[in-house]
Amino acid sequence: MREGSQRIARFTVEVQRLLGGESETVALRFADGMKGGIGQPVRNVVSIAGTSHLPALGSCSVLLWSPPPRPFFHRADPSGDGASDLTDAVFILDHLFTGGRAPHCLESADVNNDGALDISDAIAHLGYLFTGGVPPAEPGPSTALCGIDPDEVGSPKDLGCGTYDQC
Amino acid sequence: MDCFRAWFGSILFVMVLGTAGRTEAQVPFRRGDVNVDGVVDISDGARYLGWETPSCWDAADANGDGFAAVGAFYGVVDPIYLLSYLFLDGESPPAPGPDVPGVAALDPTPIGCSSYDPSPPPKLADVAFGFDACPHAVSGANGQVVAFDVFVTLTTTSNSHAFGPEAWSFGLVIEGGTLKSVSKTNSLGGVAVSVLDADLGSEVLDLDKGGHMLRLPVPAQNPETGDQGAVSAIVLAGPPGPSSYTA
Repeated sequence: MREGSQRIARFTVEVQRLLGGESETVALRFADGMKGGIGQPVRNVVSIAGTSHLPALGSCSVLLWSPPPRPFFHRADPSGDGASDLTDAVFILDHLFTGGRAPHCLESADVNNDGALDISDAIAHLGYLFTGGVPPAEPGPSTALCGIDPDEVGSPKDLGCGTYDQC
Repeated sequence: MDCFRAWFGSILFVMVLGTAGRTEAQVPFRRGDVNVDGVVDISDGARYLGWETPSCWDAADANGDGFAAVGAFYGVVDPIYLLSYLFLDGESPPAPGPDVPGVAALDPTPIGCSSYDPSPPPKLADVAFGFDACPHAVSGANGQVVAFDVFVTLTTTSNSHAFGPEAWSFGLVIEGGTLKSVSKTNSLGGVAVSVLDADLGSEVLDLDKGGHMLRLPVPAQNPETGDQGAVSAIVLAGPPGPSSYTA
């Protein structure tokens, strides 16, 4: 490399998240005067043809954060009243077509858990309630135990669940 | 035969020039400051390995034995001595040593120092230490131990010299975390490095075998500020000739 850039070392940095902290920052920066177990304090310097060149010094800042806890919820209870019933199918239709309020827990309204809140969720829920159709996806309706969304946070099928007070 | 005489004569001339018997006037100097920039650092260790004769031979006599090993003919005793002092557990050069503040004293075992006038070195290129693959963020639950990798980079631009950097040293401060492990890259300049992952504190100093010096990043701290981090020092260039490398 007469000119250009190359990696000259790789570091693995280990950090323990502090208990109770929302976010922290780990910062890496170059500094003169650092001393290993042996040898003299080290200077940041680059030698070309035996002459010292003082380099420009970059830095690296890494944000550490904790993902928010995922709320437990019942599928097919977008109204949030603790029961997966006809009012929830109506709630979905009302939200989709007449401007009704959005559910506090979107995942609860995604009855078939296909990653989209649409009319198929209302139909699936009505089918389950009245024609013996497939039960709502995990963690299941109010007759099942509360649970979390099986999809990874941030995955395409994860719609999120802001709040759900019935678990 | 004439060629041999000429060759032998030139060797003899250079050896005499580089060893002893100078009667030049002594001037104050700083031992180890081979490139006469007023600071003793890794560039001085690299300067030994070039062909340029020093303006102050006594400054290049790192171990103070009355012999300055500069260039291929004289071995690598002095550069090894100086680099060991700077980065390993070598002894300090005798007075007037590099850590003597202020004006240096006279050499008790002079071999010649006609001129010692420290001045800023000529700028041959713009260089920079930086980071690559620095993650913007990493996640982990409270109390969880998380780890991430990051690379240190050396960038050279506007280089007016025929070659690139042949040595460097850096100190790194890590705030909010601890150094878990380090490794060198698999190729530094023309030097193929066979060991990809190394333990903390690994070091190689084999200039005498035409090699190089690698002091991999090791845990370090600033005794004055208490900052925690790592240091590293690398000399790619072996003795002058085909075995010399630059980045």
